[in-house]
Amino acid sequence: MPENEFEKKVSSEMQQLKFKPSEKVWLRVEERIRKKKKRRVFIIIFLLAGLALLGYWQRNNLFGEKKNEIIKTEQQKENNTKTSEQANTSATIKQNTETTKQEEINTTNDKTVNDKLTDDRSVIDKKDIAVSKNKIDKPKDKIKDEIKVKPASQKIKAEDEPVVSIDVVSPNSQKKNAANEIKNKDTLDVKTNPETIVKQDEVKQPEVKPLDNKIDSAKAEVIEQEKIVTEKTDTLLKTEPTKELSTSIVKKDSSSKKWKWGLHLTPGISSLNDNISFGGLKSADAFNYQSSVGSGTGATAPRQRPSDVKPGFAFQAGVFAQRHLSPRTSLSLGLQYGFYSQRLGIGNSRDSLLDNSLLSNVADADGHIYNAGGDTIRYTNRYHFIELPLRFQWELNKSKTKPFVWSTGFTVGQLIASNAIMYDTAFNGIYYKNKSLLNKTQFSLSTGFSWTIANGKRAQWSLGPVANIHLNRLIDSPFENKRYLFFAGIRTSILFNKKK
Amino acid sequence: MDYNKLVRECLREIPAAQRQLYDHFAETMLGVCYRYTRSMDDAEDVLQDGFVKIFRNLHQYKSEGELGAWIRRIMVTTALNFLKKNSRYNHEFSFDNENLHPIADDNPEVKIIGKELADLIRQLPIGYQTIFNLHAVEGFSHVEIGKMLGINEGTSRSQYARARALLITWLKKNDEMSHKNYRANYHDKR
Repeated sequence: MPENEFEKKVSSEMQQLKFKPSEKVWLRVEERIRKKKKRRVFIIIFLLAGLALLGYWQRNNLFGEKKNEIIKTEQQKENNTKTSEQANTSATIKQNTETTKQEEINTTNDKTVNDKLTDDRSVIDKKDIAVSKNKIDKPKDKIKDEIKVKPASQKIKAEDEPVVSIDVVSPNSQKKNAANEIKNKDTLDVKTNPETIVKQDEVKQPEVKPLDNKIDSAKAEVIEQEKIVTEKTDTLLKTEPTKELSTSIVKKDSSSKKWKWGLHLTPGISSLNDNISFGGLKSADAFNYQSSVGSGTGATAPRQRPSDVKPGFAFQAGVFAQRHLSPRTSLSLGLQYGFYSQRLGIGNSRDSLLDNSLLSNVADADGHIYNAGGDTIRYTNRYHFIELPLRFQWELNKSKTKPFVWSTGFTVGQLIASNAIMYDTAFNGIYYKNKSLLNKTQFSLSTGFSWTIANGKRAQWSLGPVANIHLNRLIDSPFENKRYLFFAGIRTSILFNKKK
Repeated sequence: MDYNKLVRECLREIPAAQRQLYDHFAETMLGVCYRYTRSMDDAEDVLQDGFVKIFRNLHQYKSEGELGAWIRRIMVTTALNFLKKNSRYNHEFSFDNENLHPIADDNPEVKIIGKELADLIRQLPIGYQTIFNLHAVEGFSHVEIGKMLGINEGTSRSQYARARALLITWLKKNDEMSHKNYRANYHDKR
């Protein structure tokens, strides 16, 4: 509280002190209130877009899981159908084989069965391995086609596609066929013979009779082997395809969700704005920001206008890691260097002002002071940033080889160096350096499109336009009207595929 | 004037109400800003920033308090921020810890005229000027000033005493000058 009368008098006099402000003040107040609203709307639009994308991705993910479940159910159904069909077929096979066995037994001379058995067994063992390999590598549909059981009466054709064929052939012809089949590993052609029986499973390997075994023993073995073949075929159809397919599906999903890394270079232009529009800074705006009653020092000399700021060259370059969130969406994190600049024309140097007490403590020691107005010197304000961009990408088309992608993201940047000069109304308008007025930490939103130009085995090359708008002021000076950094450029990026 | 109604309308962002609020307080508030700065340009800048803050934070105003006092407080805070950030003021806006300086003249007999006094206050060093305004005009205690400016209470007292002494000296000189001028004019007329 005031100590005595003096303070009371001062207080009462000062409370009554009034001045009429110029009309420009209200105009500027009104303008700034409206602008804030515009910026708010822009941020809300971005947030809504982000939320919509997140929702879409979530929906895609859920749908994707359902789709997988549907596929699996369908596979099981098909397998069940196949198994029942196979059971019927194997019954028929048994009958056919029984008949043919008897015929063959009658025609067989005293040749030893064991030699042939051994030869044929080795041949069929190899084929069996080939069959297993083939099944693991091939998708379900192919396996379905391949595992066909031919009726016993049907003849074997060398060019036939993989087929499980249980047929009666003579020992000599079987040897030839077996040799051909080994060459063609993709074919699955299992033949049975009353004399030469196929061994399908090592665990259930039949005992080989000695040389002096007669036809009766061979006959008995044939029946036994047929059972084994039928069982094996059933087992294959029942279990293996489902397991193999589900494994392949899981493998595909996990491989697509791995992090990949890439490089990008984005040349473009940058400018300073006071809103989201892109363009040069109009000198009149900044000039009107300050009323022209007098200069900052109280002098009445006319004040020099601030120069027009024109967009300058800018670029971003860095590395990023990208990961698929769903088949059509992905997320990328990066580390990049950003260079931004603006060009402006300024007047002659006024370095003598550095000794002036008003500026000596503010302007950089190694800096220069220039007159505002005039176009004597072409000056370029340069800003060097280290940035951490986070981008969300959404493939707009369904092309897997050449996707068209829309991306949106958020970037945090740290200013590491700058030579920027700022306008001040002091001394009838000057430009000088003051790093303390620069906001060193910058937050920005980005958006853009990209087309995949080339998609090779090792890398994927994309090209497209991008734009960044900074959310906080770059220059925190009351004399600088337009203070938000804006960047637009063409982004070219290479995404490296992982070696399989 | 019904301030509560005016505030409600401003909160609904009715331009006419916003303009009315501005017109009602702008002149007085420019007087406040004028005392803290050294030029009318700067004063208008502070006024502009202050009103932008007022409209953006009007929802925080509680109708129990006086609207004028709330606006005045925002304007003073804006002025202090301006002094801290602005290149022409911030190098002067530092306070050394000083010992208590006794107030020499409790009741000086000086003429105090509004505009004249305001101009003299603006000629004080920025630190003195700020503390004098905060204590003598706004009525803040030295403890409050210390918190606002991040200085000791003693420093605030000391700076205030120096500012007051300087101002009284200048006022006395002004009185003498005006007496001389009056005498000179009187003799000339005769």
